[in-house]
Amino acid sequence: MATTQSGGLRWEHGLLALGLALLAVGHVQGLFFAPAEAMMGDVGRILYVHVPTAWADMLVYTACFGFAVAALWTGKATYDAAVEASAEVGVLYNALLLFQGSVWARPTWGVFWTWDPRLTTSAVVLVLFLGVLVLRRVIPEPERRLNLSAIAAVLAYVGVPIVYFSVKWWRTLHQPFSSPQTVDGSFITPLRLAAFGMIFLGAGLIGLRWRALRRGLERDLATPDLPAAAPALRLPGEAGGSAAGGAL
Amino acid sequence: MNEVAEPVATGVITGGWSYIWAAYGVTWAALLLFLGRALLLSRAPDPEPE
Repeated sequence: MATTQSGGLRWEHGLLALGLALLAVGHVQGLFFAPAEAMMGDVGRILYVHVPTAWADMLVYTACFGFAVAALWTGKATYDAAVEASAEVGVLYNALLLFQGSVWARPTWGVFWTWDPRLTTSAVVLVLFLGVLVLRRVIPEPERRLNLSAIAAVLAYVGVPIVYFSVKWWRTLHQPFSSPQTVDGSFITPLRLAAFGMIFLGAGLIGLRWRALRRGLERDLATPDLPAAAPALRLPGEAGGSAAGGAL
Repeated sequence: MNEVAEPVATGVITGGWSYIWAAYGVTWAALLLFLGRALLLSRAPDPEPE
């Protein structure tokens, strides 16, 4: 089969470079130049990796929710691809968030994990968005996959505001919302740099994955009666035939 | 019986750099691995329409 190579610099490469640069500068400042936290000492420096991951993860999941609504509304492959791309990045950030939190919890709370409302709801949201990705793998029909995974993403997103407000609604070990208003002024610059770094990096990663996924999904949706796996299941030498025949 | 629990620890936490390096190291490694995979997949050749 003839192929064309897709390459060249695109907008997502710019976002990735900017994100990585801001994240690196923010982390170097946070690790080596910002003062130690009053009670947590140096361990408090995990703030500069954990909190930006949390903020960026909420934004990525919010984007996923928006793409899911757009996919349901329009039925277009471009939004379908964006749902999968943003769910992948959201799951990555969410898993990192839980790992960083556990590593921070051990020296400060004495345990790696506790069934605290903030931790538990974060873990539930991770499982829900993992479910969206699994759902996309197990449904071969493009239109059904688009609709069901978009509905699943919208339902999974219900957990995100619950995570956000969990520290307000329930008694919890986790500290309240972190923002420039709730942390010392000397912590703000590295925190802000790392936060913008994670957000731009996340946008760039979504862009990269979206571009790669969109090609295949547009092809699938253009031939809705032919599941993606069907051609591989045809008998040798069988050139045409219906999708059902191919699948049999 | 005391009505107020005794604190289990007081004072400032010292050390803990191994936890800091673990948090930053795993985060950067995971981000770079995901980025590398995404770059490879985005450069996969496009099949031409037949």
